[in-house]
Amino acid sequence: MKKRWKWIALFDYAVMVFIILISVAPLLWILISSFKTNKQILSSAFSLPDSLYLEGYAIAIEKANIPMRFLTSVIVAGSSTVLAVLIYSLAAYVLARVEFRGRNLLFFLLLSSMLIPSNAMVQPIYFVIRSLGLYDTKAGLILVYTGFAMAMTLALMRSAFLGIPRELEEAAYLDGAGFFRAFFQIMLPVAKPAMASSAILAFINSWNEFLFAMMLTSSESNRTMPLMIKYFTSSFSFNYTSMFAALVLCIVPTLVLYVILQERVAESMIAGSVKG
Amino acid sequence: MQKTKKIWVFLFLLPAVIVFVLVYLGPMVLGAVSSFTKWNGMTPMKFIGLRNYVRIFQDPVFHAALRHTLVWALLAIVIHVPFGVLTALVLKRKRKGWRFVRAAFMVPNVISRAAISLMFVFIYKVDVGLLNTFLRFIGLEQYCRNWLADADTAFLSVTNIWLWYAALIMLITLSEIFSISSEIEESAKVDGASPLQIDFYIYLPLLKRIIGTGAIIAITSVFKEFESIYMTTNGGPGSSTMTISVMMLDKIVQSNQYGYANALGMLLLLMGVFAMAVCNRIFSMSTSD
Repeated sequence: MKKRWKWIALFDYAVMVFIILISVAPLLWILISSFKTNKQILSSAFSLPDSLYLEGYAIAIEKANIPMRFLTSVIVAGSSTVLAVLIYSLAAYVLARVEFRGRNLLFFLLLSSMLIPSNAMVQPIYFVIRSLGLYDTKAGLILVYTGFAMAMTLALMRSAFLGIPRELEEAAYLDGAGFFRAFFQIMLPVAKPAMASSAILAFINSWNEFLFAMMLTSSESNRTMPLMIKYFTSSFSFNYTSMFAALVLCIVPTLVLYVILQERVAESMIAGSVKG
Repeated sequence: MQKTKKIWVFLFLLPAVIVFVLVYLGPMVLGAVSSFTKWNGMTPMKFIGLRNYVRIFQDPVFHAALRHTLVWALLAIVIHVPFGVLTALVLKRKRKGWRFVRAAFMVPNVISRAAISLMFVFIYKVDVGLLNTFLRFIGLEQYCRNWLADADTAFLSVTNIWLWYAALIMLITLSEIFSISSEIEESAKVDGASPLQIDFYIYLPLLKRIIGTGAIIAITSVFKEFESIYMTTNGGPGSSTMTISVMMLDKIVQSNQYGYANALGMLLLLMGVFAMAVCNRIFSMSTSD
């Protein structure tokens, strides 16, 4: 009996070590390598750097125009997150609270956006964005990313509103508040946790999105962080140091966000995937 | 009062509906219609009936892409999801450091797929790659190879980029486990059940529904997988790692065959919906008893 429990403990730790190995070790390797010279990388892949070599970062930042890309990513991911949370909160509130004909149909329709794998629609979305005159603009990307957050945000916000007792609004109406004020002053503040969850998911997804960022933009000023990686594989393949440095720079922002908001991110992902 | 409320309801719904029309409904209709046409974006669409679909089903590259997608869907079900569930069952025993392991496992899920893929390009590199260096280090030099360029190993190598990263499955399973009362486990322990018996006979049956959700998530993300191929092998060598998404992008960018590409997109969409319906069916049927 006791022995059996011991074997299980051994197995558990083996699984845990394996997970650390596949999740953290490669990233550590990238980080360490980014401080080595090209020559050092070529001669020994495992060794620690002789000295803190920062040239790789300097080259990456200069050639790939990282400050500008960073700004573009912040603008695009930030705006689409704010827009998504706002727009879908409005819709989710109506879908949760107001009775009207076709309500369930509309909710089902909006939620069905979840079924559509976005990359199946690359060319049609490109065509729509182009027709709207939004090709190669940040606004085009913002619109598309706002769309991609639809199913998840709508589902999260609707279930949050459904969980708020009706008495709360009724009290507000008795106090003479209109529909608009009841929503913004009473309902929205109560639904803050769901808003935070939706925002985190939308932001991470928008920040990391690659395919549409590539297809819907062409000029340098509208290229986001993940595209930098493609730039490096095509025109920098000989300079390992700066490729490693670029990789680190691309990973760090979301990683920092994750480390700060760890529990929240985990909760959001659970809520998002179970409800969505 | 009633009238102003109606206006507000309309205004509240309008932005979401506009976004839906622009990003989903419009593109969807355009994609469906153009899949029956020959269209290069310059000249008007020319209706050609089912010819795109016929050509797709005769295309050996599509056969390869379809096979790979199906193999991936299968691997998602038999390895990816079970591995996620296994880690959840392990972490639920709250061994020392379990919180750290849970957090670490999530890391690859929050950073960009493109970055992960490039990271694996480095891991698989012939000269400086982590994998070959490691093999040389432990004296298995004869197994060193150019993992992504070798037709024998390319498919396995790209599969490896997502196969073990089942953090999302782990996360939802673990949160479900924690919502189950621990009294059940305690009483089983008193009855002398082994940890394996507890996992198999007590937890697994209770987790069916969440595993079903996990299966849907895994399969949908297999259909969405793009960067891990595009950034590494771009479908090659030959078409040994080709997937439908990569094939579609190639038709759009290289040869402007929009009708053909959108027919591929429609097939991808139908497969996704079909897979989701099947998963739903299997797992909701077995939970109803």
